[in-house]
Amino acid sequence: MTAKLHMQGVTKVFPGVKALDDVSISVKSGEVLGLVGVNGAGKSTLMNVLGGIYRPDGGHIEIDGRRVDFARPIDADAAGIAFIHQELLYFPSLTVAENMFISHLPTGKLPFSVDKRAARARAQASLDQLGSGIRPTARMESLSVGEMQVVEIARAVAMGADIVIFDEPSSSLSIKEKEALFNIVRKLKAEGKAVIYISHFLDEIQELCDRYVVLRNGQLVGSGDIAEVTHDQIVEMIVGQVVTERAARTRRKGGAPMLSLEGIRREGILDGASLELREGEVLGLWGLMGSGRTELIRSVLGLDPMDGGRITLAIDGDSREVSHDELLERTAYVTESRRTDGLFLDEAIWKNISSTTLADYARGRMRVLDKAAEAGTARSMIDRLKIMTPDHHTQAAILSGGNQQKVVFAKWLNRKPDILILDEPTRGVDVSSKGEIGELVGALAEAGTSVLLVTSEIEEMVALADRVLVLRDGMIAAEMLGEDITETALMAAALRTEAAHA
Amino acid sequence: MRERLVQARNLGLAYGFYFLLLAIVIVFTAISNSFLTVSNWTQIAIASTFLLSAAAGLTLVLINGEIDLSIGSIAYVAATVVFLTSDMPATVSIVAALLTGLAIGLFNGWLVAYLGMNSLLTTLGLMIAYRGVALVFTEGTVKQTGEGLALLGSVKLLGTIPAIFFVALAIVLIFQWILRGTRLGTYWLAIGNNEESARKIGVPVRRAKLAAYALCGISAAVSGTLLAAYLGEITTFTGRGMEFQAVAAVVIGGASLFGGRGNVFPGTLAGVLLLIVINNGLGTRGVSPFVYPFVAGSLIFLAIYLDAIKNRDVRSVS
Repeated sequence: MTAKLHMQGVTKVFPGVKALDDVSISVKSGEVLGLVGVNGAGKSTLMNVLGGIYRPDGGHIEIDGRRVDFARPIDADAAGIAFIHQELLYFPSLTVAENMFISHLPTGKLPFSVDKRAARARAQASLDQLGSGIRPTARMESLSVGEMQVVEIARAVAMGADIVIFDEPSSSLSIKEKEALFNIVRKLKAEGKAVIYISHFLDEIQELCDRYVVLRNGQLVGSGDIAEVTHDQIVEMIVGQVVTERAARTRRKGGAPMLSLEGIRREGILDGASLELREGEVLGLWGLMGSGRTELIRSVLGLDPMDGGRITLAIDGDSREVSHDELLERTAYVTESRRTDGLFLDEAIWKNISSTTLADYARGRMRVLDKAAEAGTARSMIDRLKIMTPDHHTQAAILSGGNQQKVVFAKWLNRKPDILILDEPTRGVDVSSKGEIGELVGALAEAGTSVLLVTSEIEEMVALADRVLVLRDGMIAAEMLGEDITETALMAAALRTEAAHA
Repeated sequence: MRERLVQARNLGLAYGFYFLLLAIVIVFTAISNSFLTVSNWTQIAIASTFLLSAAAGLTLVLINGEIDLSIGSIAYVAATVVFLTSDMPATVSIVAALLTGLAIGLFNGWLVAYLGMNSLLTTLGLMIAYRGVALVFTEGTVKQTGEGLALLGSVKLLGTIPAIFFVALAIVLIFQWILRGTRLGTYWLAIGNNEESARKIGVPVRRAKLAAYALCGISAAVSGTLLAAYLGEITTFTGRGMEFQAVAAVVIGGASLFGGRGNVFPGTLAGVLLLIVINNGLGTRGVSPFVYPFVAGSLIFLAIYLDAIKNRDVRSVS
């Protein structure tokens, strides 16, 4: 039997990166293919090629043995490929049926009219097919996330898709909803659809899939029948051959407790997370997307709701419970989205750098800003952090990602914070800036700053953290110290396996 | 128990203004002998006509998540066209006025949908500009309509109710059908819910918005034409301040300023009636007319406040 879908030797090059290097995969009808790999391994790029969002630089796609060429997403649609995205597109105030058929509403008897009854009937039919009890007349906003996802799948079925791609579909579902999702995937398989299932959770891959494909650094590093491979073997493929440990660096012990969090809860997201951050250490928070790492930080800083828990902070040697605002005052927070949250892109570098400490530059009765002093600070920061820029008047928007990130650092360092929180500090940053930022973080910890690091880059965690806490389902699930912090152990911990000490 | 409370609150948020309308009718009936009379309700029907016909079109624009503040001025421009064609048969006047409204609506829609201009500020500016154009032609004075049109404006149906009220009612019903019965209406709701998603999923966002503005322009022109026909003359007050009354009526009627939800019937109709009935009721009690702006303003504030609460809930859920 020929494959329903075959991607042959797909290559995609972005400026400076080979995102996909000669990758071939195929899926048969009635088969579920699991696609795994760390963030940045090339999964999304591969799927974007399949979805007609990117044109491949090499290779081609075949459906039912015939070559196809997707110039636009609509072409992939027409070829019967449907994506169930992590972030669902939906219209809350419309009904389920309207949501399903918004782009293909059936025409009624009157000119321009919509045959609502037909739309409802078709919606009902495909929901029934999936064994779902959702009513087509229900408002979308009355559904749970899991139910909305079912609607999205029903839409794919109704549109006649026979290749269905799930992009990390379970990350925001409850356990019960996950079970329902698995049943639907099995149903699709039984009906002869070809399914590609992308997930970080190897348990799911093993439970659902017939075959697997592992990508790493844009290359296909493993594939085969799921029955013939063990958990540990997949982890190894995902991480790569265990890198010969770098010259074992000494991990700092940290001093007196700086910040302690006890039983931080947020409805449905955080389930009593507790941790202690010491003076002069880099504490890593490790976990998959949705494990609650960013959410924990946001709740503690008061940027998102917090439904329970205590925050204790050492202020001038005295530990006491503090409010979100008191904590924020002593904290620098480098967010994961520097372009939207971290910088005034249209403003000059010097204005960005002094923006967190304007009160320090206000002079005289009228509190006029001393621009010369602001510029002076900016110049010394540019030297200290080696920001590559013509001068301090340059617009932040013009800088490269790495240099923008250094400006964000400069702006926060200027405040001499007790606590530095870094969320994905080197996302979209070039390799050399990455190294420099790493050194800077180390130097800050040496000087006594408490650093809380969130990153999904495994090498970065190993290189920078002195201690790592693993988050799972909104709770601290494990702690790793010293030599136990290895790439394999981190990967295994996040994927819930026992192979921690390979 | 808590669920009950939430349910009751949602019911209140959804239907509160209907209850308020009912309560006000009951109160006015109880305290005033002249309120619940045929002649008074004829007055209410006439007073509603002009606001209703304009607010119907505005509802569609608001559901798209946009706004058109120039509707009052469009009404005045349309009435001015009626004056300019007063030597010609009434049908010519009507058609010319409506086509003018259509043209202005298309222009507004083009600016917002195709050029991506901010609808609030754009139509605020155009509100002044359009009124200026009308003032040039009327020279800021009262003008007469043609006799034929004035005659049409005085036709009564079902005894005492003027025909113009039924014209406004027809617009309400037609627009409601377009909103809930056609593809275009579903597109509007989708756009108002999430414009980006709508575009991604293949909704012709720009064309749909253009159509909403076009219908809004026509609807405003109908308002101006009906007023001219009813009065037999064109006053400089035509449509002045109507945009804010209309926005209030639409929001009171359950449409969201954030877009994506609302109905022309019964929503906007109820909103218009509420505003007009309060004005009328205060009048029949001999309350100073200067009290009305305060009452209406408070009501508008309340409606927009409740809209924000409703939408805060929706946003925090998603």
